Amino acid sequence: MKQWLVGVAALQLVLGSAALAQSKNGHGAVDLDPTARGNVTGTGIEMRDIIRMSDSLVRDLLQRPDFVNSPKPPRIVVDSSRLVNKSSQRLDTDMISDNLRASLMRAAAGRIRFISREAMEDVAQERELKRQGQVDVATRGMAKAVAGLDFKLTGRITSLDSRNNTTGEQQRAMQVVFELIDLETSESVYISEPFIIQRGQRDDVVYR
Amino acid sequence: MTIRGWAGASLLALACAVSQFPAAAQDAAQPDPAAVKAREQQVRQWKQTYGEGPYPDEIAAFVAPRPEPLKPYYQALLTGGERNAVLNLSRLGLAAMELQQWADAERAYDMALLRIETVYSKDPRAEAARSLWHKESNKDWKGEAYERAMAYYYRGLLYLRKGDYNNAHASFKEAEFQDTVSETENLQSDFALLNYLVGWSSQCAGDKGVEDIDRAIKTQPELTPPGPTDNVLLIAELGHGPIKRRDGQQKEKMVFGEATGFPESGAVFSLVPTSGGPKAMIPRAVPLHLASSVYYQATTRGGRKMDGILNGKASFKSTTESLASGTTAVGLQMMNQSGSDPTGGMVVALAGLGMSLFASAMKTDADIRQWDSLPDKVLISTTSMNGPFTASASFTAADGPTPLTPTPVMQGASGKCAIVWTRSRSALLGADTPGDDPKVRAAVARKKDVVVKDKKFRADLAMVFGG
Repeated sequence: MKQWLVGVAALQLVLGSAALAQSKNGHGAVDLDPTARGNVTGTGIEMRDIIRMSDSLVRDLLQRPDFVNSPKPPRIVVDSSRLVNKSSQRLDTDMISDNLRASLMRAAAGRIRFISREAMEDVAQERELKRQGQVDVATRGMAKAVAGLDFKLTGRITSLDSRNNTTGEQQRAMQVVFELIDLETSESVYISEPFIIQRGQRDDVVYR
Repeated sequence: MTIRGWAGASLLALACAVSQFPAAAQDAAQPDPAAVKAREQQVRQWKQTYGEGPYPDEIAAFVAPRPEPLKPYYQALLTGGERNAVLNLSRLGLAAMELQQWADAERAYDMALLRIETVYSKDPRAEAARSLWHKESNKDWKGEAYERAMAYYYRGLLYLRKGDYNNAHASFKEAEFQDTVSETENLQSDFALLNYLVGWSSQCAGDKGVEDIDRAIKTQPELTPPGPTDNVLLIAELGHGPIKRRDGQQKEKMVFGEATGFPESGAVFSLVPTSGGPKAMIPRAVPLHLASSVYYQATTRGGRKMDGILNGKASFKSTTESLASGTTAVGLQMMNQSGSDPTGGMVVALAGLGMSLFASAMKTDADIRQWDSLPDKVLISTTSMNGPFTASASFTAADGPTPLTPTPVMQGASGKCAIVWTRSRSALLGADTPGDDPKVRAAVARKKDVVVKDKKFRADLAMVFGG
């Protein structure tokens, strides 16, 4: 019995030392699931939130018959020019709009036409070269004008930060809302369900 | 084919590939064994002086590609490790802004803010800072609320320079949130400068921002709201910020002193249209208004939670010291009165001596590492310019103009709004980490967990700054 107990104690010591060594040693890059909670998390928007947000918006929009089942596919622009970040988290809104556009475009499979306004300068330059005869008309022929827009996807990111100075608990609620605006009538034809995340954290007392 | 078979085939293929590899390429891939041996020998010697590094050749290689005036700051950053990282990065960032090294400044503040936002839970250094036997300065420095707020403020200015108004807005908003670490409710959200800048960046992003501007003016009635056509933000920073020092019987209190010897109290920007701009533009002088005093912000925060811990440590130390001196005195008296057998008195006196040693081992000193290059007063104004211009600043004191040369003016106009920023006093105050305790620094750097953390920190630096 005594030997058995000594054995268990020794095993615990070895395992404990191994765990300590593991926590102290660094490790090389590892693949993490972008849809799951990462190794390092904070109170702001993370990659998994962007993916969830994008997924929910795509499902929502593609279930609207007035939008996707029209005889002529509607033309829409999805970029970050009207994705306003009013929150206290510094972030690159292109990351959200790019993810949304890619997911929506792939899922729509031609039922929605996507227009780029970010490449407008390049488009104008190429059109000018073609019309001057400096380059040929390529393989698709020439259009009378660049494509006009039916809708623009806009969005706003806001946050509400709070702190309990007694406990040091900090909390941040972030809300993202997307809205589809008819660019002819200015009607808001769709608004997403508010995507809300609320996370809290507490720093060590020596930093309070 | 079995797994073993696949592995065998792969190894064979690899061996073939290696055998066909040109000899010269193999030589280039493998370092000279003599050089490797020489370096290992050198590192063994350096280890006695520098511990786990960084070693002189690593420091020289990291610092070499940096702009000359910033080299000492980069050296301090690399050698200061994670413990002083936020402070060294913040000082480097401000020095880089003064030297117009924008990329360096942006990277420095990004790294600093990442660390400010890091939550320390079960951190051995934070635990040490709380313990009776270690000084507070064992902890990684994150700064006081005003210092954290100012790090966000400078990052916000850099975003404004680039025309990224959304992220500028986020930075100023977070800066303002840092300032809410105030025990006194009515002193929260009183950093008018930050409220004003939240409003301004909203306006530049195409929003209104009226509420934030109104909040700033309510705190600082000298300020005026930006006009509807205003597109230039003017900022001047005057003097130097608060000076931290220790106070109290056991040096357990951190108090702020006001930096003196800076007579400047006002600033005027002259904006002169450059050639090629609209003819209707005329030169103009724009006086600035006081938005905030960093010293005021530092002194109105109220107590820190850490003060309570340090007070407890100091009180315990004082009590132990009193007991020790009392016990020693009693012991000595007993020895004097005991005649031929002083043993009892000696035992009591030795107990008193032991208590005295016990008390002297207690560490109560407050941490006074500080961001010394911060300004005191920050003045602000807005105006409208409908073409390119150059800006220059002059400063005034209570008795008229003062002959101070401003630091080089930061002027940026990447988007809808332009920003002009300068300082009356240089941020290049020397690279040594102000207020640091060299003994604590050396002792902490030897800890195993810190050695690991610092190695990772140096790898991060190389990745972010290159080199």
